Amino acid sequence: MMIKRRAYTILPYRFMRFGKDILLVNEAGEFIFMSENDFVKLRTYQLDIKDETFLNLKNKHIVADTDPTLPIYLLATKYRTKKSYLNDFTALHIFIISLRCNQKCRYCQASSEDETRTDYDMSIKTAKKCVDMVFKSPSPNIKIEFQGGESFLNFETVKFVVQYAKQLNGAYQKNLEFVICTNLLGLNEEILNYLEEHKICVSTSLDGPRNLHDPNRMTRKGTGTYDMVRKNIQIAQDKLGIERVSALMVTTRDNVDKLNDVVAEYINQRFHSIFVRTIHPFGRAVKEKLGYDVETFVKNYKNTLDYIIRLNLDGVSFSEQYATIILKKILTPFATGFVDLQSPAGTGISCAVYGYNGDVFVSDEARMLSKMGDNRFLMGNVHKNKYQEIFNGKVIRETIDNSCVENMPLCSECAFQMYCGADPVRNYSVRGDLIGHRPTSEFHQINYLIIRHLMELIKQNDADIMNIFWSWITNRSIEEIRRSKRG
Amino acid sequence: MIDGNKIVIKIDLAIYARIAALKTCYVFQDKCHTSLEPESESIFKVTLTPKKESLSLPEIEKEFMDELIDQQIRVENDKLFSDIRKMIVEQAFKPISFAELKTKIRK
Repeated sequence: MMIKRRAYTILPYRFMRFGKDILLVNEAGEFIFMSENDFVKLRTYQLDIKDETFLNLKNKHIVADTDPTLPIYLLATKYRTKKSYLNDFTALHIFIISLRCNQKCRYCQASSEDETRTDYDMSIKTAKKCVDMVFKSPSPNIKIEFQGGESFLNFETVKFVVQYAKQLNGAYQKNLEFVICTNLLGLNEEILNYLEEHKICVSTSLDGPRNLHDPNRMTRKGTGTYDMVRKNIQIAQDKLGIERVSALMVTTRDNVDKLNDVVAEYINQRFHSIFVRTIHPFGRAVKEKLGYDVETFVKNYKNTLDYIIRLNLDGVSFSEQYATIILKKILTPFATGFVDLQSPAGTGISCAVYGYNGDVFVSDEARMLSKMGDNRFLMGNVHKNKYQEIFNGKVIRETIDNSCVENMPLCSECAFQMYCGADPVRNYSVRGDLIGHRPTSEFHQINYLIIRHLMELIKQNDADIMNIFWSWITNRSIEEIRRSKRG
Repeated sequence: MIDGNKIVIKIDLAIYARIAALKTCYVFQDKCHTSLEPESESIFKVTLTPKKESLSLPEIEKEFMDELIDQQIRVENDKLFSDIRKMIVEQAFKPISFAELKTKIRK
C-alpha cells in the first residue's frame, strides 16, 4: 500500500475556543482565528495548501509546506525578541529611601513608620553600597526608583544617590533614569528645582475625586490629602512637563464600581492615561478588608475600558495602561518590560528592591512579606553579600525556576501564555508555595479574563477600536494612526 | 451522568489519555470538588460536586466533556511539538560562535 505523503508540516501552536471559532497562537505570540471546521481540517492534514486559511497559517508559521527549518529559525528569532527583557538583567532598581511617611493610607502595603522615626531612613553609607550594587548589573538600561514610606522625607539621600549614580555612570555609560514615587505633600521649590535639573520623573498617587481619594489617603492626623495633592500635581506638571508626572491608583471595594469617576478625575488633572490596578493582598489592605471578588473587578474593569474607548471615539486621547501592555504583547513582536507579566517572572531578574537597611528583595511584595516576618524572598544584604551571592544565589534561582509559565500547570498549554506571566511571591503569600493554584488564583483569573476580553475586541476587528488600540500602543494620536494607514 | 447533586463521568482510557483527564479535573477545581478513581483498567471515574448550588449540573457536565476533548488534543499536540519547541528555545538563546559570525559577515 502506498502511503500518501502529507502536504504540510504542522508547527507548534496553542489553542483556545472563542465561541464557534478557535484561537491559535504560535510560539512567538502571533495569532489567528479560524473556524472549528478549518481547525479539524488543519489537524487531519486536509487543508488545501492553496487555500487562504492555509496561507494565513503559513504566514504565522503554524504550517509549512516546504522544509520547516526556515520557519523554525524565524520563530526562534521572534521568540528571542519577545523575551528580550532577559537581556536587561536587572534594569529596575527600587530604593526604599525611608519607611517614614506623613500619610497613613488604608491599603498601605509598605507598613510605613511615623515621621519622627529617622532610624528607618536609608543612610548615605547604605545608599552608596546600593548604588555600587546597581552598577554591577550587566543591563545597559538602569532605572533607579525611589520609594518609601515617603521619599521626600529623606531627600538628602535621594540627592546623594542621584549624584553618585551619575558619577559612576560616567564610566559605565548606561541609559540611566530616575523616578521618584511620592505623595507630593512635601513638595517645595528646592525639591522641584532639583527634580527638574536632574530630569527625575514623578510618580504620585491619586485615587480619584475627593470623595474617593480622601477616605483612602489620609495624613497621620486623619485629614484628607486631595486638595494638597491636586495642587502639587499641577505645580509639578507645570514645572517638569505633563509627561514627566504620572499617577497611580489602587482599586478598593470603595471605588471598584466608580472607576469612571476616577478616569474623569485623571482627565481633569491632565493625565493621558490611567493604570487600573488591583489591590495587593499585603499590609493594611488585608486588615482593612478592602478587596473584592474577581467577577466584580473584571466587570467594572470592562465597563471602564469601554468608557475610555468611548472617550477616545469622542476625541479625548486617553489610555488604560494595563490594556496597553497586554495589547502590545498581543499585537506587536516586542517585549513590554512590564515585570508583573513576564515568564520567568521579573522578580530579581528585571527588578530588585533595596530596603532602607540594605536588604535586597526580589520585589516590593517580597519586602512586605519580610516586614510581616517572612524572609523567604530576601536575596541578601548590600553590606554583607557580594553581587554574585545576591543575584546568582539560591533565592533568585529558585524563584525564577518556579515562575516559568511554560511549565506551570494550566499555563503550559494556555493560548495566552506569551501574553501572561507568573507571580511567585503572590502565589507564596496566598498558597504557601511558589507555583500556586491556577484554578483558584485571583491573579490568574483576572489576567485570563482581561486578556480574553481584549482578544474578543481584537477579533471583532472594529476599525475605530483598532485605531484606538494602536494609538495606545504607539503613543500617537488616533488621527496619526488613521493617516499612517491611509499611507 | 447526574446523580443527585453530583456529576459522575466515566472516561474511556482507550479514547482519552489519563493525563488529559487529570488536566481537565484540574481546570474544574474552581467550580467543583473532584474525586477520581479507577473503575477498571480502561475506565477512569470522575465525580464532580459543584462548590455552589447555583451552578447548573448539565452545563458543567457539557463543559467538562468539551474541555476533555481540548485537553486530549493538547496532549497529542505536546507529543507532536515538544521537540520542535525545545529546538526553538535552544536556537533563540544559542550564542553565536565566532566562526558562525564570520560566515554571516561574509554573506
